[in-house]
Amino acid sequence: MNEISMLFAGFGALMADPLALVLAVVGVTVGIVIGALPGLTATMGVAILLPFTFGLDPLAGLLMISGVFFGGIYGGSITAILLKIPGTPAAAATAMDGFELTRKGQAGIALGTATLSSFLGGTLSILVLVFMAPVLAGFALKFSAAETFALAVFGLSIISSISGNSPIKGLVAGFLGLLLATVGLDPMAGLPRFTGGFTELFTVPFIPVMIGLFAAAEAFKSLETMDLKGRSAAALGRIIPPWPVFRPLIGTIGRSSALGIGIGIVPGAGADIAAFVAYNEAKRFSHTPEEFGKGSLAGVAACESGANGCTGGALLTMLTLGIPGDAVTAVMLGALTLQGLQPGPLLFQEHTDLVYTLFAGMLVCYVLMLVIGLGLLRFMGRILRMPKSVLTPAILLLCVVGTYAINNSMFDVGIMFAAGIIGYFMQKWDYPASPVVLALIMGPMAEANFRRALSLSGGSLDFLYTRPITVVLLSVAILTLLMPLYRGFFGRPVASKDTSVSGGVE
Amino acid sequence: MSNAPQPAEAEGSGPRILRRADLAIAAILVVIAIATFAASSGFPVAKLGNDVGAARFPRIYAVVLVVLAGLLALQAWRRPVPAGATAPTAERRQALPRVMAGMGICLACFVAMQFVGFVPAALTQFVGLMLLMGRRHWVQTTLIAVALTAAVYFLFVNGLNVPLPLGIMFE
Repeated sequence: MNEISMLFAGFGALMADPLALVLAVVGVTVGIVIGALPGLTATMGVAILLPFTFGLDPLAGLLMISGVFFGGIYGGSITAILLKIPGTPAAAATAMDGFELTRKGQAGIALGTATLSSFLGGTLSILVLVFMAPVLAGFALKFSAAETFALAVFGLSIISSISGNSPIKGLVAGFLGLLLATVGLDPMAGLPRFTGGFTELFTVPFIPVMIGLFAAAEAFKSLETMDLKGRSAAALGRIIPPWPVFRPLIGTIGRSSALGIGIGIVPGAGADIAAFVAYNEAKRFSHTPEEFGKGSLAGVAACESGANGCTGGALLTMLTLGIPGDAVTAVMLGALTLQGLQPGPLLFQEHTDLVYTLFAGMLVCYVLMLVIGLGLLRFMGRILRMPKSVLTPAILLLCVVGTYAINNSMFDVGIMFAAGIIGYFMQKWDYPASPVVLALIMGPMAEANFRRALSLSGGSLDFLYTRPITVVLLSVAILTLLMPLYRGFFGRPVASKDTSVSGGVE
Repeated sequence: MSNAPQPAEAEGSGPRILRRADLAIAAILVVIAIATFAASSGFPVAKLGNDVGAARFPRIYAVVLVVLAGLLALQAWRRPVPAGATAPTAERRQALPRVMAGMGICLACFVAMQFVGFVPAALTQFVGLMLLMGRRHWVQTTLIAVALTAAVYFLFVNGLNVPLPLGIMFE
């Protein structure tokens, strides 16, 4: 096939450009570190490094940014698993099962599985980008506001699946999150809603709420007991999962990667949505769905392969159509333009060598991510050797700093602490926090696209039942939402739960 | 990170507290819904003829929250609560006050940080929380707090060029 020979030629050109390889290493390393730190996202990392690309040749600059992108998506899983601090929004899904595995003393296996799954999902997505870009670009064009609205509703329907023991409480958390997501500027008219005059609330404070609900709440829970003996917080254990443990995950990884690629293609849908959708589908197809939320390796594998599978999809739309799929690809679009390259159909025709060398470099970036990621894990795992009496205050300090770093705003830190206090009591009374985060991600997307679709259809609601992709997504969403709710409410009453043990299952 | 599972809550007191919490939360949800309707009554009508307006979605969510509040209250009422209860252990009685003290330390340092800046406030928060969790070696505790605060400071300010609060007094 022509693509294969061009890809091999790209590898050859890449090997002749050592600077590009060095910058790929730099980009991946910086990306992993930035992704691991709460409050710093892959988008921020790309934006920070963008000015450094001005003086570089196109290949070196783009590879460095790609490295930050890929490393950043993966890096968020490290602190999510070790400390329940999602470094990136996509890692919020990984934290659900990843941290439970750390509690069980399987932090190493969880981290190793996350690393391998990220590598496999990302590599698969780049290969799809190489061989199927023109075909899948047509699929992206079929998505308009109606389909994006339906995708958001499908994403929201996952709330009932991640609600743990009580779907009712999960829905309460989800709809509170949806209401919270309406705080800010109205998506159509641009008028402030429920901001109380605070300009800081013009955008949804998603990351402060996420850090508060997950990390700060867990740190407050740790304060319940004193640490008189200075015991280590947890053990890292083995990192590379044994083959009999990893082999059953391969199907989950393949499916999740495909979902991630599909979702990444949709403009406006990013790794965070892909992670949650992949998690939900992994649970649906699992023979042991009851283990999800309690420390399931399949849950970790699904989230990471889905999130990293999104990278190729997002790049596909950006490179072939010139439409950025998310904030990171929007910055990369700027980088391409600065280098004199115009994304779109002509890019593949006029700069074929560069494009395929870039693809080869992206595959190398994922190999580097695997090597560097595994190498850093032992070092980062030493965090767990710290006594809880040191680790818990350190986590709270990191929450403050990470939240402040978003907008240099103490207001955000206040929101984070408020969310942390609320999150602590939510845990005590069995209210899951994940639906709130999910609603904050999907809510604005759902409302904005519904209103946009309504405008495009002249005020008629027929877009809900005349467009095939919309109908399919909404139908699956209704089924996903209603089944757990029906089982939860009309099944046997839940027995009294010992709230002192572990709080809500997320 | 959380501990190993706590000693089992005294039979009856956990579920009873959970029921009261659920009923209280159901009431709060109704209040939030009413507040949403009240606050959104001042939103301007949509200028675009086909738009539903800024108030529609918040009101839909508010109505659903009222329905969920009813279901939550019903579920709490149906949940069996074993009769009789024994007193919680001494450790369980101290857990919540300790958490509240920790939250208080964090909030006090959050307020202080806006005046004195990151370093003094973060150090105080660090030392205070470590002492709260049982550390009694003052010198070691202070040295650990200084080292970790400095590490975080240099990583963000010098390593990543992310400024940290200087405080009103020092700006």
